[in-house]
Amino acid sequence: MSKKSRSYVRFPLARRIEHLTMLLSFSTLGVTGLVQKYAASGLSIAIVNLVGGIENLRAIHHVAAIVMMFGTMYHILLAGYHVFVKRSRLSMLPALQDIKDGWQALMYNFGLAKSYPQMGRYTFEEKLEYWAFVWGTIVMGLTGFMMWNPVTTAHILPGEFIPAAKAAHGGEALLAVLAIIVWHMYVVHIRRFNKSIWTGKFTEAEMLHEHPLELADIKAGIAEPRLDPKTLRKRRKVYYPVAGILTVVMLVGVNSFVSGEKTAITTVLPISSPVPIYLPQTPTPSPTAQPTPTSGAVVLTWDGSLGPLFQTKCGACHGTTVKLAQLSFATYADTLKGGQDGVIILPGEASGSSLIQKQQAGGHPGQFSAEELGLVSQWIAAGAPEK
Amino acid sequence: MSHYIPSTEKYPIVYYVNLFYKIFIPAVLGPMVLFVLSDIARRLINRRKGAAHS
Repeated sequence: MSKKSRSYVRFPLARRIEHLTMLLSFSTLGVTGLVQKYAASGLSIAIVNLVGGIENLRAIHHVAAIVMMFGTMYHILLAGYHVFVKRSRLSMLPALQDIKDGWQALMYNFGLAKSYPQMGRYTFEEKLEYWAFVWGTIVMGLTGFMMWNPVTTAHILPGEFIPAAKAAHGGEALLAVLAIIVWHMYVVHIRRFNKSIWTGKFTEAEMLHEHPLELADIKAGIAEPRLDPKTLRKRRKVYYPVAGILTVVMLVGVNSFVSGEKTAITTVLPISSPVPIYLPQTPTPSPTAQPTPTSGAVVLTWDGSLGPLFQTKCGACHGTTVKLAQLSFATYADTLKGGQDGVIILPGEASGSSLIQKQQAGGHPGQFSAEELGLVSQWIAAGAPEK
Repeated sequence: MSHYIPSTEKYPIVYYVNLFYKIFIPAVLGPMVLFVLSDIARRLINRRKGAAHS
């Protein structure tokens, strides 16, 4: 038989189903998660609109998370079967040889080693990806739980851990998606298109090229331990009940994770009241005094009206405690001093003052109303007097 | 929290988590990119020489 025609089973159906489950759930989680992380981008807005709004997007994200939880459960049970019942080699465990192989591969690429390393069942590239996925699943599971169940989390940990979990969830998601794009795409799809996760098979030539040590073990008949049916039955008798209990425990865990709290996943609708909450008082109890005409033009000063106006509108971001862009409106001197971009008020030149230009452009978080902006312009034009 | 930028004084855990990923992401992706680029280069060199990779 030729090397091309002979094939070896690399991934049985169970593994291929596992991969497909993870592929679908991971991709969905990546897209719907990054859309929430970078919510202001045009692409994110387009995707949110495409799925019919943020509520739908979040629901899709949560369903994909549940699918991944089931995928993880399935993987644990399958791994347990291989380890306990079949006593398969722990070929996915990282070893010192993987570091040596990785180093040799890098040196080969740089022209400093004569050959590429020969590897067994799983190459260092595959192990790196697998363990990165395990790490990512643990981090995403824990931080996801904290965001999904904030009340429970706050019973155990300080409340600050919830925004910290959100930060970690976003950071880890970005890392995972980028690693898949850089590593998985290159190693599995670009370098040589590896179809074995779909076909389940490798030809002898492929085995010789990618996993020569495993091929040698297969040929020597030592790749998998031989099991007599009696031992297999005995081990299954032990494993199946244990796996059953483990399944129940994990299902209870998933159920608690998903349905334990509704706080963070429920949009609270406006409360309707059977009685009017606000009723304007009519008629006015006492007649409103007629405004008296002012004798002359209003003199605008910092102490009189501009200081309080600046502190009310701008103080949250440009005050004593928080000084964004090193700019503070806490005192008259601070205001005239300006911030990291220099002076923002030019007394006597309202239109030349960057404060007025910025406010006229609109969109600033502490935006003056048209009337307020008029007063500030008048004040600057009048020389921005303090008293 | 949304009104504050996390710092060592205000929300230090959030600050350190963000700092961790600012370091961790390039620390993981940097070597990956290096390996991928070196692999591409080696394959191009081998192809030019007429030799197979590995």
